[in-house]
Amino acid sequence: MVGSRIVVVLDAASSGASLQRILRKLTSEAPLELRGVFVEDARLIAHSKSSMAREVVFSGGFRRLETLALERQMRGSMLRARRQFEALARSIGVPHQFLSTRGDLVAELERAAAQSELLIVDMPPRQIGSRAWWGSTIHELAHSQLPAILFLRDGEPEDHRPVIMIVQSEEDLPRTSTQARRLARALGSRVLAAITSDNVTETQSIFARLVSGPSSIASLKLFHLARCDAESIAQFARRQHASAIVLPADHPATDADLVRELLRKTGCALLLVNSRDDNNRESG
Amino acid sequence: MSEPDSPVNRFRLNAERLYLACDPSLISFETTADVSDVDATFGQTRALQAMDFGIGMRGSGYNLFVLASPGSHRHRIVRDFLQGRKSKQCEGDQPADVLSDWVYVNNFADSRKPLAVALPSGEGKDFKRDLDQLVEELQTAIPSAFEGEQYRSRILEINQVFEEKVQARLEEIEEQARKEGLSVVPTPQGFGIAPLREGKLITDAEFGELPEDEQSRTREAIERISDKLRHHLEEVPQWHKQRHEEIKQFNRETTDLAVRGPITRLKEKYREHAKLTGYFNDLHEDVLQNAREFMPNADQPRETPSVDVETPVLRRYSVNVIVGGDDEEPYMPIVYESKPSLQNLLGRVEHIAQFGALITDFSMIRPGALHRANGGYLILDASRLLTEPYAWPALKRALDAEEIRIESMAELMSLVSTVSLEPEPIPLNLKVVLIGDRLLYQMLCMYDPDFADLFKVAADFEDRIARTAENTGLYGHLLASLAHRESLRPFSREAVARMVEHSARLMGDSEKLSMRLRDTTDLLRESDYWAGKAGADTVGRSHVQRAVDARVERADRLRDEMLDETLRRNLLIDTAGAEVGQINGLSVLSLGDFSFGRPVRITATTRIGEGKIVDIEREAELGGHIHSKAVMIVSSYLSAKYAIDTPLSLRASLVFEQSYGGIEGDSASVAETCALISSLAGVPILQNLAVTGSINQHGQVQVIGGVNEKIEGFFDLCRKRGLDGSHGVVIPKDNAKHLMLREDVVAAVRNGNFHVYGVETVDEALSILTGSPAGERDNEGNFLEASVNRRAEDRLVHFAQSRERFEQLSNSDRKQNKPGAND
Repeated sequence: MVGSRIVVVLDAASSGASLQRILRKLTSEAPLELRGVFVEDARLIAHSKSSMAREVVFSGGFRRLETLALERQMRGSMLRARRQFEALARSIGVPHQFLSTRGDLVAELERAAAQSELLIVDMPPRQIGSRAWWGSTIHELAHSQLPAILFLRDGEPEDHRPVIMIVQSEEDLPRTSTQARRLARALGSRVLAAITSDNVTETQSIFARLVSGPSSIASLKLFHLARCDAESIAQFARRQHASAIVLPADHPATDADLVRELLRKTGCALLLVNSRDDNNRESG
Repeated sequence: MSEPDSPVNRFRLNAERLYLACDPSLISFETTADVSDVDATFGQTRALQAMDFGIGMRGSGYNLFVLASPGSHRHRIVRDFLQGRKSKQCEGDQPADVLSDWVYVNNFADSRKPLAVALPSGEGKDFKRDLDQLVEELQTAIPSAFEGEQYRSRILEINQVFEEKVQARLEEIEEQARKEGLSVVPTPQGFGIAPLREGKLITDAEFGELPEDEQSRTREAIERISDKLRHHLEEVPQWHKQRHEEIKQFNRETTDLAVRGPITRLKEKYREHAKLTGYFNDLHEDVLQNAREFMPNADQPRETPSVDVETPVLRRYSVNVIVGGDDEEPYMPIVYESKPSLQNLLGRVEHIAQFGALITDFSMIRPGALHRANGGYLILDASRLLTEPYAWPALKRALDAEEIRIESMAELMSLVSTVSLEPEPIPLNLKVVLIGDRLLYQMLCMYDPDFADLFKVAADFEDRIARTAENTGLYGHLLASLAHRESLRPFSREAVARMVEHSARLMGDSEKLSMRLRDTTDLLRESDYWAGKAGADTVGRSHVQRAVDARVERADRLRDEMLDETLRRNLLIDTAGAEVGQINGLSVLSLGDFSFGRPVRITATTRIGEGKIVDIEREAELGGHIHSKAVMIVSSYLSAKYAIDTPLSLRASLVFEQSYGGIEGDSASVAETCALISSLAGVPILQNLAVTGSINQHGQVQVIGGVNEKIEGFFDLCRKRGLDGSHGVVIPKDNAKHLMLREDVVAAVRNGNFHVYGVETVDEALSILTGSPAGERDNEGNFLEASVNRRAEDRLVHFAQSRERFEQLSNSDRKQNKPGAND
């Protein structure tokens, strides 16, 4: 997030208010360049190739799922997303670029977000697809090459409400602490570190590193969570009135179900941090 | 000049009768600094008794009208009286009913009709504070309730249940679709369904190669899944609505949990007021419905919620204290409203402009004088009240209905038709004391049918009191009180005595003292001023005299000018010699507070005629009704006095020479009569004398007004030309008690240089003015030979005889000239 590029996945159904707010905060931290991405899911187009394909619209009517009509709908969505993005970028006053592409959602996002520091997914207020559909998308994103992915919810993250950093192992520390620190700084809030390791030695080491050393965080508060499941994390987040949760994306415990359940149970923004990003070096 | 033994001397008034000096011994103190204040109401027994009665009388309609002249300190007297009555009542065993505080609160059922609530005195502001604190408390409690973990958890739970339901149904449909070989994907406008074959999308060509029954099954499966999806899309809004209702209900319960305690506490505190119990119930329900209004603004930190009761929405929970109890004055307010307009009396509803519209609410109700005086007394100036548009009818309505209903003048005049407030009327229980002059009172009695019903008690204040020894002493104390009030120098006993004398002069009556305290107070202040200029510590008689003289000097430019005109013979007035049919009458000119007298020449001519006295002033429309009546009385007098067996064959004319501004009054009728008789009899009238007085049909001389000014006016002219001991003024004898002449006039009379004669009949006046006896009838009914009356009568008889001859001749001539008369 330093002199960096941020890629934003827009959904025209979202108000964009949360996205605008967080981008303003990040801009105040360091200059950035904004790239908006709209992906026409190739799977949908493939569905429309069949003459048997049908579309059940929200009004309850049926119609044939025609490629042209679908492309028209997607184009309409793209145009709305573009307008929203450009208005957003102008209001923040940053260099920006809008990309529209067709293909596999995750692959296209990975491609668009190459060389970027952060991918922000502005989630619509209501999930249209099933959990399976969303969950697989999120899971794939989480295990992609992207350094960090921020799932934004409408109204979150709120200023001055704490950022929870889940530390599952000592390896997670450099990446998650850096991102958590920066996110908290942008929000004007503090970091609550929740250590979920069962290993006492590891816990102590994590504790020491959080208190001092490169991974240390000022105004830090430490907690220990007995379990690293969605329910435990969600309860902790609710108790602390957290506005965002920072998770290591590639930790085995961070699976699609955990991510999906956290999104469902907490209402917080969710920042997944990928360990494979060489740019996330430890720094103060 | 009349001889010392002249018969007219018996009519002279000696110098002692011309000015009733105040005996300083009647003033019981050396200076006004030695005495304490007295009540200014002495001598007002009638009025005070009336006020006492009116104040004490229960029942509607017993409001008071105080009749008093301007300048009588009537407002102060009334206020002091009421204050004294109030103090007495408060000290007594049974103090007056403690007043209520009145507040307006929002009517949650209809905000256009704010509710009026009565509270014990002093509790109005407490109630307001309680409500303000309640709102502040709720502004913290409600957001806290909605920010608590329990609330968030529950909302999350409700949303999760909904989403679970939606997701589960969707997954169920997806699972079924998968089983039936179909794929379901979200599209921008809904869901897409396409057939699969071994988990992959099937092309049209591949589908065409499928067996017919399989194609049919696929089509049917698409139909089934489509129906399920459609049904799902139809039921989601229903679930959404249920979720919304559930959240709404939960919000209501959450709010209720937060607000129930504080509201219940207040309800308990005010449980004795049934109206407030209902109000709190309505408030409770309103808060539940409008909980979001208590949430902080989005851009404000949550730690500092917006504590602003004055925001438009939260203002609905505030309290407007209309009448707030004064802890020091819990009983019987006494209110004087100096500008009794409609709004100032009844109160008003204010509006503010917002986005081009005028808006208002109960918090903009403002009290009027009726509110502030409720339970006590309201003092109003009647003339001011009657000149304010709509105020008098509104006051009458309020008194009649015994309630205060706020009315807008714009609505009364039908100028606006915007919806405004209709505040609940407040019961009215007070006494109104109207203060006005007598003419106004009479007009109200005559022309306003409501007046007698609403103002049954008249308190008639005296403008003057008798100048008895006792009253003179009390008057001195009153002057002392006025001097104290004005923080003036002490007045000496002699100065006070001079003030007493001047008071009598102001009344134009040596036996009366003026209760027009404004004039008296002004003279006190001016005397103090002159004492200050002289460097005196105490105000003495000379300073009072200086103040009196200075007043005259400031005002008598016109008098000097007219005197100068007379001296220069631009205005013809003789003060020597004698003339037939010409006499010096006397008139008074008033310019504001200053009046002065001046002589005016009255002339009369007589000749044979048909018995008519022509009043030239009336003919020229310069004579008023009273003057015309006086001339008719003169005519009747003459008719009854002379040649009563003979037709009155006289034509006479009377005129005020060089008078162009109009004549009114009957004070010149003695002069007019004497001028006429002089003309008839051919007997000249002495021009070194002037005369004033009114007559009746029997020739009796009646009192007139302004006698002091008239005498002084003629005196000034004679003095300018040089007094020779012959000059004087003839006045009605009954006017002697009104004399309070200037010191120089009195001195001139004392020295024999000027005279004042008091007469009771026209004959007495004639004898003085002509220097000849008027004459009385002897046993045979004849006037004394060569007397004035004899000559006048002889002349009238001559006129009658001449007229008879003339008429005979005329008739004879007409007969001669008639056709056939000489045949």
